[in-house]
Amino acid sequence: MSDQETPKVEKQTKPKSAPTPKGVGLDIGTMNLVSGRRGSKGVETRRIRDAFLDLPLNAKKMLKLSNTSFIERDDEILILGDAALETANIFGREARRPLSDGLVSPNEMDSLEVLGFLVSHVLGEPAEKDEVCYFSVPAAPVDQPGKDIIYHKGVFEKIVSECGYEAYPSNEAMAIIFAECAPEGFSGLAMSFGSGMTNVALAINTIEGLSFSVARGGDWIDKGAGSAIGSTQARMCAIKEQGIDLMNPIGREQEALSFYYKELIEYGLTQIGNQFKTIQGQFALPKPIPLVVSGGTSLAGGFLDFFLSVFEKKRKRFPIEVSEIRHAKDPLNAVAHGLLIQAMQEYDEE
Amino acid sequence: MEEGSRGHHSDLVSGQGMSMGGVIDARIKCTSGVAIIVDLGLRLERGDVVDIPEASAQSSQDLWKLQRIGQVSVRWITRCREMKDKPPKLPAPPFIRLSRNKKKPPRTAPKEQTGTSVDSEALAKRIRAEVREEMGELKALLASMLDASSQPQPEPEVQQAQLPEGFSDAVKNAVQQAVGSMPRVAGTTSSGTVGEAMPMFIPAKILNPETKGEIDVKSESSEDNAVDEASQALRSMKKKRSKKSRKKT
Repeated sequence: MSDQETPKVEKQTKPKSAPTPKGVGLDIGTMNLVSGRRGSKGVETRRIRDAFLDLPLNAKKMLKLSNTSFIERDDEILILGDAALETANIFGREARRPLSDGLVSPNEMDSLEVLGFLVSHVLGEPAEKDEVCYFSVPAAPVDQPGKDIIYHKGVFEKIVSECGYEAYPSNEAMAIIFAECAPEGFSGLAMSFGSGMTNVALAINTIEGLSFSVARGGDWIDKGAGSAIGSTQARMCAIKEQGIDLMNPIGREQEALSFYYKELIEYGLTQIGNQFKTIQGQFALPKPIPLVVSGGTSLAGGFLDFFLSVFEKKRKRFPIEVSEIRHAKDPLNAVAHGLLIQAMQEYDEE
Repeated sequence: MEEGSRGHHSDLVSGQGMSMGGVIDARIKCTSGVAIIVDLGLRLERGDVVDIPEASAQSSQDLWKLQRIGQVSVRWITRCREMKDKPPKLPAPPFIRLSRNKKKPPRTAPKEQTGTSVDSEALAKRIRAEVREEMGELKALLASMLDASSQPQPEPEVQQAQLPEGFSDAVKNAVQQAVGSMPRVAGTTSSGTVGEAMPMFIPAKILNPETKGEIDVKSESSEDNAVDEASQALRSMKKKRSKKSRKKT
C-alpha cells in the first residue's frame, strides 16, 4: 500500500506551473544533428549540418564581409554547419565530416572538439541540471563485421554529459517506431535511410525484436552513381537535394541515382529477410505490421512509390507480413521526435 | 742429379751427370750470420740450405745482392725426372659362374645412404615441439612480468614523524599542479571524470570552454501533437502493463 501512496505524495509536491515537459531527443546523423524538445508551442526542432571547414586565419576578413559565422581555434578558423558546405564550394574544397558511415570517423579524430561544439549548440542549455537526453546510436552494421558502435556511443555519451544532460543512448530505428507506430501499439518495422547507413528495427509492443544496420546510405548512392558516370559525389548529392523524381529520372545523372536507390532498397530488404530468418524461431508476429520508411535519403521525390515498386517484387519472398508501407510524417525529424518521446517518459515515471 | 754453373753469378758445382729434360733448381746456402732474402720471403741462418726454382732465383735481386757480399752461395742443381714404377698387377679374382637354374636376385632400388639420410618429418616434429616449449616458457615469463608490473609497488615506508609539517600537502599541491597542466587521458586515473566502463581512448574533456563563436542553427516548431499523442499512448501502455503485472502478483 505504501508503494501506491508514494507517487500521490510526489504528484502533490510537484510544481503545478511546470511550463513544459522536460527531456530532449538528439538525432546524431552523418549529415545532420537534430534535437527535439517539447516547447510551449509544440515540438521545437533544431538542426545543424554535421560538417565543418577549416581555413587559415587570413580568410577572416573575407568571412566577415560575407557575413559568414565562424569560430577561431588556435591558428585556424572553423566554419561550422551549413555555412561550411557553402563556403567549401567557394574555396573548391570538400567540407570535413566528423562522422563517416554513421559512426565517429576514424580519420577525423581531431574533430571531436568540433563535434562537441556542434552538439552543444544544437542541444542548447538544459532546462535543469542533468536533464534527460536520449541520443541516437546506430545498430552495428551487419555487412561490416569489424565495426561496432562502442566507441561512437562512448564519445557521444561523454559529449552530451559535458553539455549538462543525463545521456541515454537509444537505437535510431527504434526511435522511428516510437514516433510513427503509436496507432499500432508501437509495433512495426522501421527503415531509417540515413546518409552514412541504413538502420532497421523490428518491434512488437515497444519490445525490440531485431535491429541492425547496413553500411550503405545516401553517401553510398552519391559515390556509386558519381563513379558510374564519371562525376563527383558532391555533385550527385547536390542533384539529389535540388530535387529528383525517382519514378521519372531525367538524364544520365538522375538515372544513375535512381539505379543506386533501387539497389539500396533491394539490399536493405534482402538483409531484413536474412536477419529475420535468424530470429524467426524466437520471435512471433501475431499480426501484419506496418513498414515505415524515414531518414534524409528518403526525401528524394517519389521515394515511397519507388520503394513500393521495389518491395512488390520482393513481397513474395519477404518473411514478414506487412500491413502497409508508409513514409514518416517528418522524415528528417522523426528520429529526434522518437527520442524525445522516450526522454519525456523518464519524467512521467517519477 | 746434376749440378753446374748457370750464368755469371753462381758458384759452380759440377754435376755428377746431365740428363735431357731435367729440372734446374738453385740451391741457396747461408754462409754467414742470418740471411734474409726479402723478395723470396726466406730467412736463413748459417748453414741452412734451401732449393728454389731457377726462375725464382733468377728474378730475385736480394738473393744476388747477398750472394755478392758473400752471405749466401748459390748452386744450380739439375734434377732428373723420377720414373715411378707401375703398380704391380693384382691377380684376377677367381671366376664365379652362376648355375643355370639359379634365379637372379630381384632388382632392388639403389639404397640411399642410410648413414646420412634424415627423416624430415621427424625433424620437423622435433623442431615444432622444441619451439612450442620455448614459446610456453616465454609466455610464462611475460605473464609473470605483467603480473609484477600490474601489482602495486610497495611504497617505501616513511614514518610521518620524520617528515616536516605540511610536507605532504606541499607534495600533493605540486603533483596536482603538474598533472593539471598535462593533457589528461581518460582511464589513466581512477579519480577521473570518465567512468571506468568508458573506453580509454576517449578524451577526458571533449568540450573546450574557450572555443566560442556563432553558428547558424536552423530551428522550427511544429504544432503537430503527434509527439504528445505518442507519448500519451506509450504512457497508457506502460500503465496497463504495470496493472497486469500487479494483478499477476
